[in-house]
Amino acid sequence: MRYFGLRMGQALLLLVGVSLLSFVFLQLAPGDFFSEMRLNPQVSSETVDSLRQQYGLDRPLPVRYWRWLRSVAHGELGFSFAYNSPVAPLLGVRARNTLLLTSMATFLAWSAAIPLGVLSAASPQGWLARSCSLGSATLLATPDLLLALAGLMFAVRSGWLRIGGMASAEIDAAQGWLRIRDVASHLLAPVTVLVLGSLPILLRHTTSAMREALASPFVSAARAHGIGRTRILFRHALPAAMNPLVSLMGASLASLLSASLLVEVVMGWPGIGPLLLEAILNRDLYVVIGVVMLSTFFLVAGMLTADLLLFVADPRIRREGLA
Amino acid sequence: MNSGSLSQPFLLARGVTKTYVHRGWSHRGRHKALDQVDMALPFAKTVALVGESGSGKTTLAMCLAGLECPDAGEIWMEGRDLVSAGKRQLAAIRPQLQMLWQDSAAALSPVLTASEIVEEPLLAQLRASPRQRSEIVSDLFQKVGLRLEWRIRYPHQLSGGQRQRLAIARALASQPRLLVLDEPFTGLDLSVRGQIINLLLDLQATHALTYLYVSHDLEVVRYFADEVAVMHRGRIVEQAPTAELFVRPSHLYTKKLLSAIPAFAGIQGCAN
Repeated sequence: MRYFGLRMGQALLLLVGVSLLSFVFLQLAPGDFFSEMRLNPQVSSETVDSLRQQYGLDRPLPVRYWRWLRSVAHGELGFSFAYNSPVAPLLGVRARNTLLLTSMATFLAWSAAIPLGVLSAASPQGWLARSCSLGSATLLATPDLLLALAGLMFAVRSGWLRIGGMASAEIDAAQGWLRIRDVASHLLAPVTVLVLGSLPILLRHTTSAMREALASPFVSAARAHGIGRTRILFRHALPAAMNPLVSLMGASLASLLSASLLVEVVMGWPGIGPLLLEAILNRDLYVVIGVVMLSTFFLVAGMLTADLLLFVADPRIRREGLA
Repeated sequence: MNSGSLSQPFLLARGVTKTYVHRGWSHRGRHKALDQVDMALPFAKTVALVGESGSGKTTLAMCLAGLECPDAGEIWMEGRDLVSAGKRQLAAIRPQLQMLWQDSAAALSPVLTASEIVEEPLLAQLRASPRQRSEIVSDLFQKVGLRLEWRIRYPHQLSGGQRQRLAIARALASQPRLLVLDEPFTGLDLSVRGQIINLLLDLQATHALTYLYVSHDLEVVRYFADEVAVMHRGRIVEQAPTAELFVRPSHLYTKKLLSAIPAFAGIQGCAN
């Protein structure tokens, strides 16, 4: 347990480091939210200066960092110039939408990858293994952007899937079953694109880990004892093949917040992606930092979760951890 | 080939052939691992299979254990041919053929406890209540000299010798008639090696087990085996009772094999 205390400390340090670096880099970038106003002849230079003063942009970097830290302590994460509101509630809603999308996609991708990988490894010359390998090679070679655009095109042409936003305008106020169905129909296209994008990597890792496990003597031993095929696959080989997969699961947890940026922007899903893009274009400083911090937080939390899972899944590590 | 079987053969291999075909996108390779192998394993005796690396020892061992299927040939065991047997028949015979591996850590599932490992074969083959199974497991632990409090340990928490005992207990759970030993003593220190060898000799006497012992270690072979079969390039070039073979090797390759070991070069000198 001391080990996990240490890891928590490291995680905290990492978060502080990332926040400092984001401040410094955004400082280095030219211009700020109010720079464009200077080009507008109807806004006087004094007005812009007073606005900058009002938002504290004229202060030196350390002061601004200190103020930001204090606002983090208050749970506000700074202030958005564009939305004229604290960053935290803004991020909260968007993060919830993104998590709905990505957790669904991650769950579906894993639920497909594990059985397909296990079966591909079980009969590597079979039609399933061949088509999985061909399919994943094709998907790997396809850029995510192309995949998203193809999904968009399919949705628009076929008219079966709803695209843009999270809910239809007329149903926005409705509650219960109707609303769930409406959100689900909006989810379908982005989730499909995300699943297709992440599936090949998960599938390849599952297949190769399983093939390795199936080649080891303890699997031959199980066969010699007349233990059934399904039991060999799922009780003997899969748990032994789990280690690299658990690490990969941690990575997919870690990327829950950032994996879907592109798809969200292309398909108009109101998640973190469009918010971040907008904020960067507007130089809405604290929103950008807020998104970066939240992503880092998820990264760290995902890695910690992966370690915990490994601890649970592998008796060899469990032993070392306790000693 | 002179086959000086001591008694009626328990298992008889005839013309066993196995070719591995490598299908790559750049080239195709064929490797004949076994070439018309004839071999007899006398009942409740130990036959050692010696030969250099890559001579096909392990492939032959896997075929005889029913884990690999030869391309051609016959393997007769008590009036049944393993090669031509159907899936069901083979499934019924296979538990009688068990194997011990060189690397005991790789041969035991890393995520199951010692008692689960021994229980798995029982689950597959017996209709027994959990309590009965647990009794059988305790019994097997005692037979191979494992302490009962080690039941909850995982393989990595056991020493090499203890792991090999656990592997023996698991093999016994299937009530085998033939045990294929693929260099199971390698990597064990001398005293532990002696204990495991003696355990296997005891089990052979009490359970009428037939052993096929695949090895490099001619010293252990001389002590442990009743007969020795010498393998060279996928063929058995000589099979004879141990004492006879060590004193009067008839095949040229056997002579070379024996003379490569300093201790035996001396013995051969005496015999000449």
